[in-house]
Amino acid sequence: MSERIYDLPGAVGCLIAIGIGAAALWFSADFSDLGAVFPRTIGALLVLLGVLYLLLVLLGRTSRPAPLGGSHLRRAGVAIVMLGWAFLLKPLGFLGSSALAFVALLMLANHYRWTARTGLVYGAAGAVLLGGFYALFKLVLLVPLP
Amino acid sequence: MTVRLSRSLVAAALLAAAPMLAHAADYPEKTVSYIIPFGPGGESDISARLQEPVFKKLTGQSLAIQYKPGAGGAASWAQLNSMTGDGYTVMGTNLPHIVLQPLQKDVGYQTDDINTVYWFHYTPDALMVTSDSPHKTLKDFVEAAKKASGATTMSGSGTNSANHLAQQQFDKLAGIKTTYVPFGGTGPSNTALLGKQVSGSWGYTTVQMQLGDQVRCLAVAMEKRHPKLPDCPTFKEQGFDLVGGAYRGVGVPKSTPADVQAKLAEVLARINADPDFIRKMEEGGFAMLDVGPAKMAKFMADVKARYEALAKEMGISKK
Amino acid sequence: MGSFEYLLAALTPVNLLFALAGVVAGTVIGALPGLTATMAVAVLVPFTFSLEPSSALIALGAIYTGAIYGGAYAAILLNTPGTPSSIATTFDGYPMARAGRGDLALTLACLASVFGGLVGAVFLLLLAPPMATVALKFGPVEYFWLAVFGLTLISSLGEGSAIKGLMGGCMGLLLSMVGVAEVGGDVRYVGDAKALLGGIDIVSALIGLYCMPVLIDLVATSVAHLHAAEKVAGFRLREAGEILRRSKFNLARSSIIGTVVGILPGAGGSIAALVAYSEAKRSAPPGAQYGKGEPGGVLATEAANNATVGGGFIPTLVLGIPGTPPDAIILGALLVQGIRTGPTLFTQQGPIVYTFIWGLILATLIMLPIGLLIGRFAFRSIVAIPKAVLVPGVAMLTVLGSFSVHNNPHEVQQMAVLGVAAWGLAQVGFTASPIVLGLILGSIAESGYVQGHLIGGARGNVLAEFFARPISIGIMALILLGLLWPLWAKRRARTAGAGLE
Repeated sequence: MSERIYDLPGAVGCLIAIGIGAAALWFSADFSDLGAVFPRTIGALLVLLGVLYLLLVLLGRTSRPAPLGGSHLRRAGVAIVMLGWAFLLKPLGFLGSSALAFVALLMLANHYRWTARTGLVYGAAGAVLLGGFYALFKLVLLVPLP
Repeated sequence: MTVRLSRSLVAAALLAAAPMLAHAADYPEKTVSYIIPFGPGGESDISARLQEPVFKKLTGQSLAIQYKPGAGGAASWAQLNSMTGDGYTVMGTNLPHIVLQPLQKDVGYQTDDINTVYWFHYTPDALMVTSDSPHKTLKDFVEAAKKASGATTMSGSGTNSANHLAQQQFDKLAGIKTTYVPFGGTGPSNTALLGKQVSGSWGYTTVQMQLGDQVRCLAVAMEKRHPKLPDCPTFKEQGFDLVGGAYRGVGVPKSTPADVQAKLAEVLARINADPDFIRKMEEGGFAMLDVGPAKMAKFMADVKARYEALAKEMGISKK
Repeated sequence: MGSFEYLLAALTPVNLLFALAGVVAGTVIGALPGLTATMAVAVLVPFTFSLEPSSALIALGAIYTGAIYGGAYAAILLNTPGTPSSIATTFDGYPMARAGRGDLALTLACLASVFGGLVGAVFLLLLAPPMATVALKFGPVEYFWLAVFGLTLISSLGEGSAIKGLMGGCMGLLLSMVGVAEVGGDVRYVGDAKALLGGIDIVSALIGLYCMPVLIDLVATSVAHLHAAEKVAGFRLREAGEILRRSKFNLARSSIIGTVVGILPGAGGSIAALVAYSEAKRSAPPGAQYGKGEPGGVLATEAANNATVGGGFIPTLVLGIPGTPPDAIILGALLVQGIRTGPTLFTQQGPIVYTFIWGLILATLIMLPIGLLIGRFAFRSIVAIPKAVLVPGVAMLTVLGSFSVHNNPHEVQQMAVLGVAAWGLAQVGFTASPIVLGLILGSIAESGYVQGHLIGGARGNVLAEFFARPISIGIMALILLGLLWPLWAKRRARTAGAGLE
């Protein structure tokens, strides 16, 4: 091996993995015997693998993933909108929460300038999608949307 | 309180009650959502599907069956009382589950939270072996189990379920020790039996009917033999006092008005009296039962006492 | 042969209509992420009660096979498996789409699905009773080893380090333990969140883990999601035909793997596709780009998952034990119609069964033109829709899909939380597939292990139970092969490279 590449993101991942494994072991304290076998085995395995990979990282025998381009702000926006949507589904009902989320995502996803035309077209498309899916799920598939 | 205030209070109360009263008279006026707390294909599903066409025939409205499995039913029962109590959301309820589950751990509901309107059938426990098993009668089975304590394996659906209870009760009655191997449902339990992974299986009469000639029924937990299983003796005949199984009913959220509940019970009772329905249920191995609002309180009290005693013996009342 | 009169019975206009309608409905439902084949069948079952038993079966079978095929659309175009059985289709399908070969991938998926479906149906027609006995030979211990096998496969597929793949798999396994334990009844890793009592739902996790990261990354740039390479009219059939001819062996092997896995109750399309993919990768000529857009990958997975349809009916009809979840629903529907499955079904109700099987074969054939048409429509739409509308539209599908599985808003929350977490995990090198596969295989592995332990304990010899059973030994051999092969292949490549210098 000529070049040493240090996979730092991977190392962070390992720490997370080790944390999860340890937590799994910790919380399995009051499981019955039969119910504890798997959690403890897998938890221990996870910790082991995490440590193993960390060693590889320290030795430099790993590869780095490509760096991310693009707007991180928009990414965070999507994450927040989706979480909000999921948790507001019941309180605001499907139509309410979806309309809000749809508009928010439209704005996050559009990189081009907003003109009256695109605004109208996208808005109309949104209304059609929203109404169409609502009808499909609620009336045809009999899914009781909130 | 002034007279004026109290009069308007009465008026308000009447106004509020009026729609409910009107409701009960015409109930059901639209599709009723029937939630099954288990996955499709099980006994709860099949009996619900058999009820559906009769419901439609009697009321003109449909029953929309939905599946919400999770935690052996607990996930749905824990949410029952937070659902709309207008009579258009009903849920399948099961015994022994709703008594045993809260006893064992915190599952998000108490037995008394589950308001069952009607218990309409039960599936009696049945002890089965494969048709080529050396055990031809229950006596053979018990003798073999006595000789090799713990070596006899019995498959069943679920831990602390009706099947498990039956195994524990019978082991005590017969003075034997068998090993219960829980599976994730009737399907896997049957596969294990047919594949001879286990010596025998604790199931229900419905399973016996479904598997037909591939299995031999050694005994059923009924007072008298099942009309469609004439060759299968009861436990009682053979000297063991074991009668019971899994009971299934229909429940509603507690907030459902009393008259809507009464109307629902009435519809269910009429479905239970439909000769075609009875025939199909019995052909499937189900045993009919009629416990409506009138008998409900005593039935639940009896059942609770029985299961609680069993649970204590089995050591599953750890809370 | 008497069979042909059943073929004629299946060819009635009514039955053909049901086959057609079933395939279309099934494909569309399967394509929408979150709506699984199981759901498609469950929703449409009540409509079949008023039908003749054989027509009802044909309709349900058509829906089922259409849905399993339809799952490939979202898998290829959105990197989100439309149904769990198309998880493995994302491995090469999505990279192909990103490289501008999405329409080719869709065509290949259609052709492979039809081929696999036919193989499964033919096994059902000719070999059902003997194959059913194979199903019975698999006990809890075999399922355990099979699940372990699946898990070792996960590590060999990851793009990136095998160790990270295994770690992802372990995380998925831990996720599968959330909720009430099937064996033993413990309540695990739930804490105060009653919503988690039912465990983590696989479909919601699927949507979240696969689709959310895609959506999150889509908004970051203005680059279009997918593009079509050159002006290509038609279905690229000639190209697809070429590829098919080269991959005859792959197709045949994958279809057989799918049929056999489908016969095992509890093992469905997702596992079949995974095993078929892994085998295809293993026996591929050097230079094959598995994981980066190799057509053979799509062929293998789609042939295998549609083969599970026919295969799954074998234990269902012969033994009365459902081979896959949709089969459980179909069994229930049959019971309501008064049809008892089991060994007597083929003899006493022969006409119904054989008419149904021919109907299934016809439905699978119908899927060819229909699938190609719908596929082209889907591809054109996804390519043409501007990102601004695509992102919210797909997001809406994810919400609807994860809700509809059990009409449970908590599962939408699971989807969103897992999804955001998945994006984070992807940044540190953990991809979605190992986690999802761990989640799916977790319960199989655990119940197999515990049940095997109980049975072995009862028989007095736990070790023999796990290590001395013939089928288990065979599976263990496969596991060792799977673990050692990549190392051996790497060494072979290195020495070959050294030899060239």
